[in-house]
Amino acid sequence: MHLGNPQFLLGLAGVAIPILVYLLTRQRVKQVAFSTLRFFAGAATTMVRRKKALELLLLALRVAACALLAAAFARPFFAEKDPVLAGRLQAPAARIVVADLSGSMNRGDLPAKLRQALQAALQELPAGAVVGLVGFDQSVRVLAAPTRDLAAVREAASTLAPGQGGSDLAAAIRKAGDLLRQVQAPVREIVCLSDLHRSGWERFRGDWSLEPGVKLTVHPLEPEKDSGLAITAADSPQSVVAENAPRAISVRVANATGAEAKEVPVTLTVAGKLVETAKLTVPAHGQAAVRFRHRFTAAGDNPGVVAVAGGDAPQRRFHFNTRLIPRIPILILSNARGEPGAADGIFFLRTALTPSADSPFVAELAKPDAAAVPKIRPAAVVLLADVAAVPPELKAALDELAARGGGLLFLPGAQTRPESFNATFAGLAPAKLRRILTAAAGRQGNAKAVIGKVDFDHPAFELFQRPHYGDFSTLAFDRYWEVTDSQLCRIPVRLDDGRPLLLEKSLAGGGSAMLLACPTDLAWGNLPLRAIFLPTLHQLMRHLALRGERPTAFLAGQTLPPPAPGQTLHDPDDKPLPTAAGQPPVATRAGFYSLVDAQGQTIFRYAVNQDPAEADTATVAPKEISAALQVEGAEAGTLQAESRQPAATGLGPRREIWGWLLAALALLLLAELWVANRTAEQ
Amino acid sequence: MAGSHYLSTEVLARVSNMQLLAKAIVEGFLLGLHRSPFHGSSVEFSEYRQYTAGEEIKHIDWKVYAKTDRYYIKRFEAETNLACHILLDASASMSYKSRADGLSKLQYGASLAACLAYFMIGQRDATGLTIFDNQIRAALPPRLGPTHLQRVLTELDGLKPGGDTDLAGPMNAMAEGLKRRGLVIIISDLLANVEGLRTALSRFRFQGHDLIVFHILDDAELTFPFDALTEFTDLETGQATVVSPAGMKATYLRELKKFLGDVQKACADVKADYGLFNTQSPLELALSEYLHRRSRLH
Repeated sequence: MHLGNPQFLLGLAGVAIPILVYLLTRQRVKQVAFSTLRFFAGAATTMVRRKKALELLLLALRVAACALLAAAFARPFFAEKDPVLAGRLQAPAARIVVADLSGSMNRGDLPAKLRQALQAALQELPAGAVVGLVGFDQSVRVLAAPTRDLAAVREAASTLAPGQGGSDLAAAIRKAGDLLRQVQAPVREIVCLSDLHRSGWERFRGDWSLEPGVKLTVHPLEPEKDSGLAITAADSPQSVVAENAPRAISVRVANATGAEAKEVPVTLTVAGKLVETAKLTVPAHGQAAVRFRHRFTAAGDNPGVVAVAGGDAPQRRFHFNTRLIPRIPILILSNARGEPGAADGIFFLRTALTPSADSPFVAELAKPDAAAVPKIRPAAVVLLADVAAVPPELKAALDELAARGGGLLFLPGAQTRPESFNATFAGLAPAKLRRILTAAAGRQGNAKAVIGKVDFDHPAFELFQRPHYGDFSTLAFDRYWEVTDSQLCRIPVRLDDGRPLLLEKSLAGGGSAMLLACPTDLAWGNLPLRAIFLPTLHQLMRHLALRGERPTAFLAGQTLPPPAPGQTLHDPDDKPLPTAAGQPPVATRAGFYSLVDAQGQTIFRYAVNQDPAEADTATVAPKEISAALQVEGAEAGTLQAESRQPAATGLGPRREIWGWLLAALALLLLAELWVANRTAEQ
Repeated sequence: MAGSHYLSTEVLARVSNMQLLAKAIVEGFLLGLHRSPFHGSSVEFSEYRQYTAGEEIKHIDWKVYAKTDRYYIKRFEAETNLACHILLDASASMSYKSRADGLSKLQYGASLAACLAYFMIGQRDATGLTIFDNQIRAALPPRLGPTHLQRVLTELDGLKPGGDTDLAGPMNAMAEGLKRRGLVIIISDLLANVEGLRTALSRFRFQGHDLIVFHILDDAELTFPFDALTEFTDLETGQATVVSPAGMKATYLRELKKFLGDVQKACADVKADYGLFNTQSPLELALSEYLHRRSRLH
């Protein structure tokens, strides 16, 4: 805490005033020999103690009030000790060199040009000048703090080499501006050495600018010759369920040259085996895409590479790892038999989940009794169709399923009693059931309820976002459950009256529970008869079963999930990845990072790629950067004038608290008034 | 003259006037209250009656025999057969006085006792004095005559406060020694067990005594005028406590009122005449008020 007017702290001596007044005017105990104490009724001592306590409290309040008054006049404020401002260097000139070390700087002769530009930027400095060095990809690193030791900065610059990460040019310039605040110099300059990829500038939101007086010099670096082809976008599934349908792996290849690239081989390799080769023709300064369709058969990791012929540069290779999940075991708990013609809807559920032999689901029907407990353990998803209550051991098994990341889908029906359901599934169900609503009762004209809103951002419904990928408007419902206590739920689907139709709640342990307010029963609606039913149900099952799957795709420069105890993380060269204590592992380059258990077996692979945006050849103009970051018309001297206050104090922005002190003083005076009245009554 | 400290001219003058007034109405406070039921050899003629054989011939009025030739016996009304017992509390609590230039309760009570003795003996009523605290410290049996009055006043003049107040013990001891019924006057602040007071008064009443209770309290005891933080020390027990009088006053006055009510009820139960005296009130005014009250009662 700091003081704006510290001289007013002398007013703290004022606390002596109430103390003196107290000492001078306090009641001295008179001595009286009295005839008898029989009429004092024993209350004397308590009352005197209370009076003494009140007097001391009154004194404390008055002392505190005087102290607060003095403190408020001293205008205290909080301000972080800004290390940048606290130790400002005095120098005739200051220059911070910003070096782009992103993956795009690995093209052609750009690394050499970068070194040359660095050496040039560290020349022609006046004696005593302060220099700093900042390197960046998608993260910013201060390689050399502002110093007069020019040789040390040059040595640090000589070892720099671009990596494979993305880029954040704006953050690097901002950091350089912060470093310049350490220096008080007539000339302060930021020299930016970058290929000025637009992707590195797109993170700038326009919410800050450089201090007045700071000069920004941008040296765009261009490769002598274009790198040719590069993958600028790629897509592959990270987790798939075992099924016969092939999955798509697609890449988009850009041609930065002025000549058309004809019949360029693009290969797909899965698990070390060449699977397919495609011929791709990319127009000059254009892009073309290639899509491979591959049916994954091996359970677990399926590491693969899409490579564009013409070199091993990171921008020509796309690494992926598609994990194949065995068929999703689904258990349907219901008291109905699910036979054709039955109105309970179980028939539709079973048929939709296992339409053919190559269905990705294995559905089994069981009654909700204790005998179903062993069947829950292997299940990934459990459907509770019109189940209002379960025995305790079955409830415990459902809790265990949720704790290990499994999914639950509640389909309350006509036999479900709200009281029993709410009591049995209090910790699992997304919401409580209240009553069954009849659609015709609340509607005029159209007596059926229809879908009002679908959250296409929900993972289970992303698939339906594109046109002609599903029509929810054909669904109509005659009855549905009204639910309550759904505040903590995500509601992917609502009816036209705003009431939730589908609710989802994340459960402790990673599991998820969904509740469909209308069962798959023809007596309730036409959902089982519409085409959207089957893909919707499949998507819900996939979502419930796979939401706990770990991601396999990362970009260079990103942190990887830390390995569990007993596991080690190996880099693409299959060497243990060195990590600092307490720091998460960082993927520094493209390739496969392997998670190895104590027995040396690879149990998981992370596919790391260079940020595809780095292959995008679009650049930003230096003028655009300068215009966005520099305050026009500001003179160098303005900086000193405007920054005199923080320079003198070495502090950051103030947070004044004198107003709070005055408010506390007012409260104290109110308390003093109250206590004084109480004391006078004693 | 010993004891003249208590008998100022003003007091005597005022009380004498009141005594004359009382005598005029019901033959005086003491005399009127205690008309003798006995005929004896006193000085006041009562009546004549014929001589009956067997009576002593010394009572025959020979002058009447000479005039009438019949034997008549002269009868007189006794005046001095009332025994008045003054019981004065000289406990430590009686030494309290709230004003340095004022009278303590003991001084006030002793003055009152001296006045009463002066009147009683002046009325040829045998007057005794008993001084007590938690026991009988001095006892003068009822006697007549200036010499006895001088002894009473001397005893009162050298009076010093003593120990705790105990009404029951000394009074019971006193009652045991009283064979003839008479008038018992108790002068005390009564700061003791009220039930003990009731028991003692009941015993006096059972013996046929008339009872008068002079309750002496200081003005500060009645009004509790203290305001500053005060440490009160009990004059009898020595116990001390610090009190904030402002917050304590209501409690004190409530307890005092209850105490006074209990005392008055105890006196009323035994038909004892009760009078509360404030030491700030002039003594003659207090006596006047009391005698006036007695005159109205008789």
